[in-house]
Amino acid sequence: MAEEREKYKEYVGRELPPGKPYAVTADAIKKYALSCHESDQDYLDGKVAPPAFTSVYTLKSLGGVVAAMKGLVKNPLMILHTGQAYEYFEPIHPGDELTSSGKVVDVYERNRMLWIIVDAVATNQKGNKVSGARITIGVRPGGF
Amino acid sequence: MVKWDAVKEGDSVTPMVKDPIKRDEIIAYGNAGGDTNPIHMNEKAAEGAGLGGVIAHGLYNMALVCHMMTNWIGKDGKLKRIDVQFRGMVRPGDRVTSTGKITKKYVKDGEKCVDIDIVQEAKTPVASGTILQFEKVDAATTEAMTRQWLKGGDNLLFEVTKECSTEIEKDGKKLKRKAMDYKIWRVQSSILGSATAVLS
Repeated sequence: MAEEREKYKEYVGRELPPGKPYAVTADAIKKYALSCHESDQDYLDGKVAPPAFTSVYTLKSLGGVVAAMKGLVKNPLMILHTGQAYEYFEPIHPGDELTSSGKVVDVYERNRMLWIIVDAVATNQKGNKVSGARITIGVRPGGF
Repeated sequence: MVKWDAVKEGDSVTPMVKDPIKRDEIIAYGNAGGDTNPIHMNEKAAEGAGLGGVIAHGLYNMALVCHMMTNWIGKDGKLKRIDVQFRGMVRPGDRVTSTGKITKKYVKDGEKCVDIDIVQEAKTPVASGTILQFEKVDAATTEAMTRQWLKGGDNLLFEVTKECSTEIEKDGKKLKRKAMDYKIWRVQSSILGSATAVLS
């Protein structure tokens, strides 16, 4: 299937505007663990974050893909989250302060949809890398 | 908790079945996860976006997979990597089953690793009811019944939810007959992906 890349190349390499550091709390971990039906007591007590918690701080500490794609994504309601990958380096505990930085690594059109790939890395207050993420977004026709 | 020495390639991860997803659970996940996009939170907005109603967050479905993985790995191991594609939309009422299979077992940098292929299926209820039980319900019968009721449905699952009895009228008399409650689900992959786990 042909992919159209040329007209989107100016967006590739754009840095996502960094958000505020995300302060991890036991309450946020508990709330998240409950919302995804975790059964491990350490997660439910907020002692350590479950792996999926990565979604929370990756989303909260990034300025937003839409902001980086200003002028390209016209209707955020047409955005579909189509893929996600995580790599884990260190566990997350209450008291951690996490900062994520992200970059658009690919933008192309295929099957009438616009595809945006973003890589993000989160570091803690000690400067240690705690996780890496790859986010794949599809914008449906009419949304770009 | 699973031990690296005890597993082999081809083994399955203990599956995780999530009871039919409720709208409230999607909203709770949106609030806890910080993604309150109206397509997940608001029926009208989701319909307006052409989705035919609210859909669960892909990240919620992924969290169910992570839950399966960490339950299986146990506290002495760890999830090292997970990579998923969101293949189908999951809606309130869907029953979601996460599964995994070991594709590779190896040692890297002193860590005992396994690579896992992940499949998550969402079953959407499309029909239910009670029918008289005329014959033994075997696989061929249910397949024929499913084909008869829902033409062209390649990915349909017929499930007997309860054996029961019902009354019928024949020649003015009420007769008790064996029956069964059934449900027909449309089955689709909601997630395909892979993961790497370090086991103890």
